[in-house]
Amino acid sequence: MANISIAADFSEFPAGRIPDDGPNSGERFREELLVPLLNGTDEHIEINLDDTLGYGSSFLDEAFAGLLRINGFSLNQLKKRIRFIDSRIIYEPMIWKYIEEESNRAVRG
Amino acid sequence: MPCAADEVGLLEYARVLLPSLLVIAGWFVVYSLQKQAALRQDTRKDLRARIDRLEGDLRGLNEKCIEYYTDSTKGFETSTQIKVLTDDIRRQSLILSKNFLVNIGGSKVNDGLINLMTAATGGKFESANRISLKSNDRQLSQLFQSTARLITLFEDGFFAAYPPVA
Repeated sequence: MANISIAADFSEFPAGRIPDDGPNSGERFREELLVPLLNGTDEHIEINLDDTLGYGSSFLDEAFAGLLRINGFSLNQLKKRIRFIDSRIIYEPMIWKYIEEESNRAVRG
Repeated sequence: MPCAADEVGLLEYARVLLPSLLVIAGWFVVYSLQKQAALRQDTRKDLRARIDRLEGDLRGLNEKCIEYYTDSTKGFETSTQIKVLTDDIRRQSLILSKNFLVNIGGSKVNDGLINLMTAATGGKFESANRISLKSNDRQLSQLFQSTARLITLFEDGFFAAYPPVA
């Protein structure tokens, strides 16, 4: 299993959607950390969401729902591959909600 | 084998002791009931204070979001305050729903929190090219609605657990 800690491997202050919004944007996290791992291995990926100064929905949506919107992954693929560690309890269900909403949008066309 | 004189002695003891024992038992019952009532009152007071604090933070979040979204010059400082406030609201809500108001249902609180956090920190939050929104913009209106729903959820839970005395 591959592990990513957002605080340790990316930033304790994740913020914004696209690189224009700042150096720790959701898009940069997705493109530099998540996508290479998802494409480079079949392993499960455990993402530790703890130890950051919170998350904006804009960051989470871009980082995770963007995997469907931009990178063409499906909801089932992500459900099989990704696990979260979230001691704050709320961010994991938020992420899955955004992923499912994006999946529903894609199904509706 | 006890003789008749012993039995008379025991009855005499019982006649003297029994009223005293009943009085002590009565005191114990009254003490236990009072202790229970005091504990319930303390818990109610503590819970009320927690809900009031949560409502204050929710109002603070609304004010901060109005300030941030209606003025595109507001930057990192205000957005960080919004994130800190939403995280504090998340923590307080989960403590309330897990320890005090288990009757309101964890999934309702989770849904309410997700809607609130999505409205407060979604859309163009922390975006470099965001523009000032009007105060009646859909995102702010969703935030106010989510706030109202969350407050209603906790107030309903509170009055279900501690109905007002008629």
